[in-house]
Amino acid sequence: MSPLFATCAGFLVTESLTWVPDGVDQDRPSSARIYDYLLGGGHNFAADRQIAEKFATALPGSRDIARLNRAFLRRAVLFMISAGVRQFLDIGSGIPTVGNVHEIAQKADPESRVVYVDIEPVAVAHSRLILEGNGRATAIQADLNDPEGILTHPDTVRLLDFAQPLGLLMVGVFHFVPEDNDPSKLLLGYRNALAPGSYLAMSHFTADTRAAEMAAMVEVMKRTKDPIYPRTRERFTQLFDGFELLEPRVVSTALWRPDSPDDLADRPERDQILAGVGRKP
Amino acid sequence: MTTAAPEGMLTPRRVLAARWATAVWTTAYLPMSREEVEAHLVELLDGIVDELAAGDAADGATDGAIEGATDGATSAGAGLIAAHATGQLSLPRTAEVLGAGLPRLPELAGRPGIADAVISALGRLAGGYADALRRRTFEQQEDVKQALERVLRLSEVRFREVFTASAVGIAISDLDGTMVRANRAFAEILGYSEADLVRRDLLALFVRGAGDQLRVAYQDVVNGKIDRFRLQRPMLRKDGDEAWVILAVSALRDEHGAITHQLTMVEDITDLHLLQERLNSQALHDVLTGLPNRQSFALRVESTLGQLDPATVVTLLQLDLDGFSVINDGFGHEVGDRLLQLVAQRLQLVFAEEHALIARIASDEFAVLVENSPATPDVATLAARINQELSEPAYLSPHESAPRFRGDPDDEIGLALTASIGVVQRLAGAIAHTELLRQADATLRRAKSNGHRQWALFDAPQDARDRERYATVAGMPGALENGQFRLEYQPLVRLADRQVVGVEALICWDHPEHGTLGHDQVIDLAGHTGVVLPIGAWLLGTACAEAMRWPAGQAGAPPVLSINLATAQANDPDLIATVNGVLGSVGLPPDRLQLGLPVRALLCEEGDAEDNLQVLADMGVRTSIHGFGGGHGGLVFLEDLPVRGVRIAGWLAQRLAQRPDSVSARALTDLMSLVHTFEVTVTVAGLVSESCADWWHKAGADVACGDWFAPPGPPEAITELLGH
Repeated sequence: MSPLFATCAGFLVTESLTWVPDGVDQDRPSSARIYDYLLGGGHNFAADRQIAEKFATALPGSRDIARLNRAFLRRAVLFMISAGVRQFLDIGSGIPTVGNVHEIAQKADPESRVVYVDIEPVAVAHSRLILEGNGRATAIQADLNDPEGILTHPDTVRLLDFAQPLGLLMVGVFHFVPEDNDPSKLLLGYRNALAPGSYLAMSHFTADTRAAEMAAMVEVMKRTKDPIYPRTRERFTQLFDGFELLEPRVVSTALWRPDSPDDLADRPERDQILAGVGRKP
Repeated sequence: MTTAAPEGMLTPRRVLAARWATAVWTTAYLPMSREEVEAHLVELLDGIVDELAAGDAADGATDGAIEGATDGATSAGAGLIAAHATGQLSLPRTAEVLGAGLPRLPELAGRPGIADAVISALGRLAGGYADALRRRTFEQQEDVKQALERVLRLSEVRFREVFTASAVGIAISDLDGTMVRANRAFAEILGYSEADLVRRDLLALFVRGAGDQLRVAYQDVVNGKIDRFRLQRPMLRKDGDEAWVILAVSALRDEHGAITHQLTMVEDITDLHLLQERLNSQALHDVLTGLPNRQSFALRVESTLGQLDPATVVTLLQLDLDGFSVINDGFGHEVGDRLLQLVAQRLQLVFAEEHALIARIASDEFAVLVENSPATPDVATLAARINQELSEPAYLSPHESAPRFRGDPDDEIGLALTASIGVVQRLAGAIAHTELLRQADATLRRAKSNGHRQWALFDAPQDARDRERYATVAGMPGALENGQFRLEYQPLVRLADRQVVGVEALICWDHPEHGTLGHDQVIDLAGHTGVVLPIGAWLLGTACAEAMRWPAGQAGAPPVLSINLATAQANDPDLIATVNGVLGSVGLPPDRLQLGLPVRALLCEEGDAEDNLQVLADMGVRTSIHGFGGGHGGLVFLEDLPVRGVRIAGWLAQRLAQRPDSVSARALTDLMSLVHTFEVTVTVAGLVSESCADWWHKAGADVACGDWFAPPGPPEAITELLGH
């Protein structure tokens, strides 16, 4: 049977018989836009802001958590550049809000190449708008759960050379993968495609601390397209199997190679997202 | 830019910038390093300080200034936004740090009105900050809307493209099934124009009946009972033809999730459907020859009989290839298969001029239904043509795939076939197809029983007899259970002194319709089926039990019980066990039992008759051969086997008695004297008169039975006879 049926079944129709693909519904909150709002961005809709406020109420310190996660991304990218990496695959890139990978990487070396991946069509369209005229960076719409689809996408193949070391960034995204989808197997799919000397940076929600607040936040996110599945430090560490976990191994985002003593003030919220960077031997 | 101290030295201004950076650093994500933030803030601070130092912006800057004009403090506010210091606390902490720090900077400290000037500067900074934030928010909202619209436009374009260009037919109908839109593919499948279809009832486009079934399924979708369904149904094209489609139906919802329309997608599978039908027809065809198989032939005969003018003569020929198993066994199935293909071709050749349907109805059987025309030859000619065509040798090489005629004979096998043929000729309106097929089959069996290359025309009286016979045989097992069989006994008399030396047991069947059937009839009927074995065993058991009651007669010892076995019994591997069991259970001494085996059974190379005879003799049972005299083999057995008696075949005895002077009679006399050299007793049955008995006695027979002495009678008659 034609695959068309599957695609068309995902269309909604309004009175005027115009179609909006599933997922392009501004009344349905998206994690990418909630993250943007928590980071102080304006790339969001009322429904996103409403959920973001609930998120922040359930999990006090949410804005800091978002900020520290974004800062970890920046430091991880800069670390990889210092290690000689000049190409990046940023999966779960979300809204191109502030401090995007291509800005960081191309500032360090204009030759750097970046492929952004997100499942949210508006985020991808937005990224493309911003990247217009940038020949070394693009965004594709794809699902983290489909390594094959991402790795063989024409734009991926065009911009990235998998024979060379590459920076794989999965920052604040793997907690959207339920255990049923076999996260370890998914990561294996990515790892197998990477050349030795490639790096993987990941950060991930955990409920090891502030379990009650995290449970409340998880409840809030159930109302969105992107429910969250926090993992223990142990489980998260396992996801780096096959990579050499670099010092300081798995720590809260703020503690991963901080570049300012101001980040080190003792605050409980920084423990909600764990981070780590691994190197493929 | 003015700096109060050389680069790298920690001037009070740089210390203030560092404090400012620390204050705002954690209020929002600033996409730069801490040093970069500080460097950025130094620049902003320079603008503010220079302005305050110059004092020119201190007065009336807020009331006189045109909105949008820039000064150091306003720019610093915008600069904070540029650094993305957009957190809730970014501005208050800025005001706190700068409000306390600016008046204390050496370059500003002690200036008159500095406190007011700083407050004013912070106000302008806040104004610049708010304005920049507002612009930035508008821009970002604009960006995200644009992205959304782009996606919507793209999906709309994509959908239109899909809707327009799809090879799948798509129709949108409202909740009562009235079509709102249909794409070109949908219209083309049905042979309409797109405009034709708007406002039509979708379900009316299905073949009558199919639409009614679908109405329920559509209703379930509209009611939300099911999300979607897929079915295969025939639709009605504008030209009246059927278009087979797979349809997938789902609901279309508005932004609130309410169902507003039905979406129907159809894929034209008419070709696929036709292919499917062809595949189905293959199930009705013999794959080897491509001819219809038995099931298909029966259906075709039925429909042909139904369609023909009842007065049309139809001829059904059923062919069986003679000895085909020999070819399969001898040359392999590959050769056999190719020969069958050849037969199919040749039959088509024979009937090329006829309106005929040829089928392969069993592995080596074919059938031909001919609708007779005035030009159709008679049955004999048709049968002759078939055998003529088939007997033309085919040259087949076991390793070549195609049969060839008259090829190089060196490495090929030349095979000729013959067929036995059963033929039925009837008026189309006068016979049911099942009966026609049955008659052809029965006629073929009859033809075959006459030997190879025979053909037979259906013979109604013969058929009636055959059918009655089969029905009778079929009733035998039931008759045995119901006690319809009984035994009669006939004395065997020594011709020399007319003493009763033996008693023969004979079976009778009191048939409810056919009256009493005698021994020979029963054995003849039963001999066609396996039923002869249980009947024979019953006869043996009953007669042996009866023989226990017989008194010693004038001969001084009780008579011997004589039973003649049927061929199937003589060959039965279980015969010894059966006899042993009976003798054991009734207690009859083995030498009081004489079992006669038919000479025909012994002549047959297969079967256990010879072994059985040997073992019976070893057991002490008297063994004899009956049906003796017709052939040459009988004497050999007398030499090789422990046989104590022979019985002259019944038909021979009757004929010779009528022509006592014939050459045959003299030959028989010689034969009997030869037999006597083996010390074997000669028995003859069916003697009707005293003279007859005399003749046989002179000719050399030792023992006889027949109505002349006593007819077969009930058990008590024998007991009485022996008692005298």
